[in-house]
Amino acid sequence: MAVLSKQDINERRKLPVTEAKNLVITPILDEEVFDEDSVDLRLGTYFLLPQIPPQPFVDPTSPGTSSQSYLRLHTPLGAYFVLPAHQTVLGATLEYIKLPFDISGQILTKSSVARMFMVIETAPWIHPLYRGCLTLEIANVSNTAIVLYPGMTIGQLVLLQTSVAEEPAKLSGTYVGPVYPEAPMLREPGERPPPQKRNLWLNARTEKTFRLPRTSPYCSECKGTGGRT
Amino acid sequence: MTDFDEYPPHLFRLQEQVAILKKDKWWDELKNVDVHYVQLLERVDSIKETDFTLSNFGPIDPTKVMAAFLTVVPLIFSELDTVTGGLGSGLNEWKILCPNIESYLERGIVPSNLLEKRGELKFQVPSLVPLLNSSYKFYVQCLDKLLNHIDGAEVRDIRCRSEWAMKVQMWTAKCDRRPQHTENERNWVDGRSFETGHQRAEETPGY
Repeated sequence: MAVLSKQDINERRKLPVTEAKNLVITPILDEEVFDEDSVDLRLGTYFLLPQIPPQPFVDPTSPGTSSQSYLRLHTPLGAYFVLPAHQTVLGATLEYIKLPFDISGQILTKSSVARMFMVIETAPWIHPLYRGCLTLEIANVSNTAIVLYPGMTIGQLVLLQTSVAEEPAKLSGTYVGPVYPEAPMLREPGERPPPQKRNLWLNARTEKTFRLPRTSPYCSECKGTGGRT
Repeated sequence: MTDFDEYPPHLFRLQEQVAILKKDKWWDELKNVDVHYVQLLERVDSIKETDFTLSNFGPIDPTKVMAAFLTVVPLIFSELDTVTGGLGSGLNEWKILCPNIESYLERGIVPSNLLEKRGELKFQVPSLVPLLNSSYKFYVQCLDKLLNHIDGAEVRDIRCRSEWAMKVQMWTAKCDRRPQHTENERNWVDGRSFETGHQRAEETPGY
């Protein structure tokens, strides 16, 4: 399994999407995001903020757990999101990625971000044929709050050649298409998720939470209010 | 069917929409799309102006109201043309990019940067009108192609179709990186936030 170089990556990007070995990373605003062996990825604008459940635990087998325990937030470009000390949030990359059948990927925390004691990914492996924005399990493990700006470089994608011989006839729907962070969909092994639960954002019952409440201490638009009314 | 108690009725508005599509040459492309909306528009377009009648219009003679209205409509269009005269219809770009956009959507890829030519790192960024129209055409005509790529997706399952139609919508929305948005991102990449860039623009003399 070899790591793809910048040249390898660009050769793949030059292929049309109709070709099986095509690689897509979009949008690319600046070609300087390509290092010799990795691609810088940026923080997206949508977040899922874990909520404190009414009971003192989270039961992963309880129906509806994933869709009920997160607050959906949208922090537009130019605004910011404050992640308090020792808190977590699900985010997503701004970039949409399409991997070909013979390439795996791994997303790593940028060293500059890691040195602020922030972890962006605890399930870093990306399977071949994945297409979508990558969900980031962002954790602030430091003792101080950290300000997150959508659009900031937060991770780096390393691509690895695998020995898969040919493209499968069909794609697994599980890996196609997310553009928002995805909540966990815990289920029994082999069990297909019910269609209405495949994407939390499609079941938006509380769309108002796409934006932070005006009085939220996490919201840059509430400067001066201190999160109070 | 064409007797309305208020004017202009929806059918008349639709008729005007068809007229605009014809004027901008969009209709030549859309009329061949195999979807019932086209048949509806064709039916609406076949209604004559004189077929529209008014009722319950109080003591005013509805014939005179109709005549006045039909006199005013071209003047409104003329004013609109003055305001929007410099804007392109997006048709030519749509003709070029639509197959490529459909190709991306068919494979579950956000069509925000379209490869121009095989072997070259040059990408086209579709404008909003060609993007939305291509995406909608894909939705009404080609959703089956996408579903055929997905394991377990049932072409005839309405819930499945709805779910993937929503994804097409999300992928299209994800592309909505109009120049001002992209510029905001570039500002951020350059170390300037959107607010800073905005303030600078306002402070520029003559802005």
